[in-house]
Amino acid sequence: MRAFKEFSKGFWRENPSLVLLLGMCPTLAVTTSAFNGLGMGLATTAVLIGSNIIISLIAGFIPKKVRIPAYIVVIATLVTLVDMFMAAYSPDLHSALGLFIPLIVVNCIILGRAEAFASRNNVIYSFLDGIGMGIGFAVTLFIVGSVREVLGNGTLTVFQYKETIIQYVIYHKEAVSPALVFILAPGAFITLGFLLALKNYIDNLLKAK
Amino acid sequence: MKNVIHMILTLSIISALAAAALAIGNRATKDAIAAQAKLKAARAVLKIYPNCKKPEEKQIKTPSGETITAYICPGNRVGFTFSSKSAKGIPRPYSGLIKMMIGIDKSGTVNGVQIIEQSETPGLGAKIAEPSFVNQFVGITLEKGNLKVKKDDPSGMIDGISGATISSRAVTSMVKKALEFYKTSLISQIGPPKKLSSEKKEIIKVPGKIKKDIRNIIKQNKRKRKQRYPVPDSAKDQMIKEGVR
Repeated sequence: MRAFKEFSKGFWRENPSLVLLLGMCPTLAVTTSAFNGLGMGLATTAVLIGSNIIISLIAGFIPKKVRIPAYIVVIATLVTLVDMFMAAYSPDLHSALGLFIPLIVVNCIILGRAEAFASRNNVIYSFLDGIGMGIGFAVTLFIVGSVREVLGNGTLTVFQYKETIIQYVIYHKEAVSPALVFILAPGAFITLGFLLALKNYIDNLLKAK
Repeated sequence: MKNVIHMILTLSIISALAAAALAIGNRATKDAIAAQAKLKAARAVLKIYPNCKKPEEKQIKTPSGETITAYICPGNRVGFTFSSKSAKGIPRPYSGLIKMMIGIDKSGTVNGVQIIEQSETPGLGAKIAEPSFVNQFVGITLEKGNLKVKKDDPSGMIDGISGATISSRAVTSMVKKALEFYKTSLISQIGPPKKLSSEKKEIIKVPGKIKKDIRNIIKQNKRKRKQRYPVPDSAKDQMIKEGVR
């Protein structure tokens, strides 16, 4: 059952944003709306799966001392290719996610998983690790984005593609003025701090049982 | 020594492979990306001038010397792309470049603004692309009103986006520079307005016999409707009382 363990650990036990505390830059910067968080999470998942697969395949040939630059070259190439093909064949998706794609290169999760997992495990486990970690990251970003958008803008944007926008108005800005601070940078730290506390609180409750 | 050579060799091979992959990727997508950019511009024109399906395209030069395409629409209205680097004196956007499509008519009035390209912060500066912001520019001229963000100048006409004054300021300044550019240079570059060939109206001639048939069908339908929903006598009396005939 190891395969399932590697797949599911990213959801809770080793959640990249809440436990490993990796990839804080996108977690804090991009999550101004629920969909932005989800979009960033899904784009990261795609790259994470690709880089985990490639790196687990080539790790054996790379001398230890130059492994980090080698990984970065692989990741940057992959991200640029994804960016180019998306711009060419799916411009609507590109205009929705385009902003986040260059940010993925500097995302610590990808390098972190390459170094800590993919370089030491085989392709199948690395692939499962990539999916699990990616989903865990995407869901966390979605939650952070939802909290910030609801408190800071009064809306919840679940989906945005082409002209289609699925957006729920939670409360009207005219009636209750939203706390703008949650859309701004400090709101990201506050939200993430409370989420971390909540996660640890639940863990403690489970342990006590 | 052997180690060093090994390291150099591995890194070189990986970099060379990466470069090759990127070169292939670039070649495969270059044309498609250029076509998409053009399509995007044409779509933005269509959003500003919904009737302008086949604009006349003309290459023009901006104050900073770059070549852009002007889309000339019927009624002597022009849509053209203008970026934050197209003219001097536009304050720098928060990050990267902002590119917009602006439609101006012959009286120098802005008909619409569409943001085509931007890399401002999502959720903050990126809101410059939303209708609630860009629609503020519709109907603005250089002479009428003060084209400035309210935060900088209380008499300004443009409501900036909260938390994104730098982005709002950049777009406002871009609109102003685009209007100035239109007046000083663009009109002379695109030349005198072409006389439009009057649009042909299509008149469908209906033969007399068919006309008669159509009239009969309409009459029959009316009769049927009356039969289906007969008006009760009580209601008829009421209608007569109220003077409805």
